[in-house]
Amino acid sequence: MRFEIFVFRWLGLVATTASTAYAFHLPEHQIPLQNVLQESLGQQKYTSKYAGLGVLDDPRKLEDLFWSLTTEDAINAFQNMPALEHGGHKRPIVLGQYKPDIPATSKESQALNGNHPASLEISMSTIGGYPVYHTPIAIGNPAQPLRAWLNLNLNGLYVRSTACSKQDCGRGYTYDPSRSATRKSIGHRFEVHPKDWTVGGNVSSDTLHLVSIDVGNATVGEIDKYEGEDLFYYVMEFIADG
Amino acid sequence: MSGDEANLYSALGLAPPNAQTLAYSPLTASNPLYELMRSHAVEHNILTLTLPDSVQDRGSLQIGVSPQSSEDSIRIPFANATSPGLANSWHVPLDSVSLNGNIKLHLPLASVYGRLDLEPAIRLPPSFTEVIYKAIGATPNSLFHGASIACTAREKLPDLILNIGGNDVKLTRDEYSSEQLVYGHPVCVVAILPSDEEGVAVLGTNLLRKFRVVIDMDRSELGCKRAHLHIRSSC
Repeated sequence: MRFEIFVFRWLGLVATTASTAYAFHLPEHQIPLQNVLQESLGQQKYTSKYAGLGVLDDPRKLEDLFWSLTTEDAINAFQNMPALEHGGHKRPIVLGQYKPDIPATSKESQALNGNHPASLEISMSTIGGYPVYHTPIAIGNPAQPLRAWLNLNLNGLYVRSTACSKQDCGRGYTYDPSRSATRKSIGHRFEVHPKDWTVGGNVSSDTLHLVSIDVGNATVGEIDKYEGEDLFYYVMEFIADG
Repeated sequence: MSGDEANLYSALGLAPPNAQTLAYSPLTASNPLYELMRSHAVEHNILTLTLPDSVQDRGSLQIGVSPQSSEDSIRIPFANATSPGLANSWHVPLDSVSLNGNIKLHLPLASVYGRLDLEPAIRLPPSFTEVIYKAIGATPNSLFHGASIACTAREKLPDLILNIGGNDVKLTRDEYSSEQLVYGHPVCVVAILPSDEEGVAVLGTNLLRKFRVVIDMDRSELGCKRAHLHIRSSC
């Protein structure tokens, strides 16, 4: 079996902020690993070294993820996870939930960041047989979850704005600039013309959340104009400088 | 498009830190990794990339994990070449390309740099690609992302060895070629393609997914180490 859990420092806030309203709402099939552990092993509290989103299907490093968890308890916990069975598959698990909805500039937010590393889960999809890699990110305050295509040679952070019509931009994750308290307009629009296509929108700055890391005043290209074939990733290949 | 694919309308560029890009043309603006470093959000400006092998698999992008000395890791300084094909890229010197098996070939390269890329191919300077195609009996084929080869010949393909910054990295035939079914018929494809420029190579996912790829922005070095969660080769 393989153990895949994607971890990042979270300062052990799960236990202390359980009642806080979270900016990042978990899908129904994802549950905090702390909850699973406490249910499996009784009421003992386990504090995570990390927070993250991922799939757990092997107990080997559970003890590495929680300060007070022994190897024996890790194995017991893994073997007593009936709640994770869903449709014959192990459910995805979150190790810790997204951090609470607090202003990115507040002292609490700075404490949450704490210069600690983060880990984002990378998934792969194929478009026309061509693999693309993507990861969950979030932008704004409250954080708006998005799924971003990754490119090692691209300079921009581009998001699909709610201002782009469904007809032009399809469905799925969108960024609503009006809902973010930290979004600032830069007062410029960008527009690029890869081949015969057009991609454009407003340029703004907002907080980029990479799980536990906040990048304040990140430049964001809010795509609200998209004319071309439905091959966004291919279009983006041409947006990089050069 | 469906499912996750339909949702891929956001993009996160991971090009080297740059304060003045034209990503939001005509505006000149900084890029995400520059902004990450500027924010001092992490103590170590290091990306560690582990790519998934399949749509069922999961990889990770770790940000800020501290550098760890490891016997099974190599470190190669990033180059700063100015070719247009290397702009906005993480690139390292590619010193030679070799074939090692029933076919032996050694091609020293001069002033060639390999760009890290999430493209599923290895691209080599056009003249060298031609020599390799001839050696292994491959034919350029625009229908596939690579060159076609007889499937009987694929069974005997040699290892492809890339010398990157003085370090040999081996790709087995299964790592740089594949058998695909087209209308029920097997077609064998070698994922080696010509680059657009003589001085430019592309080190794509055939290579990158073998390792945990460490992009150390503080030291401007590429690290390559054995995966911890995924059992993969070391360099």
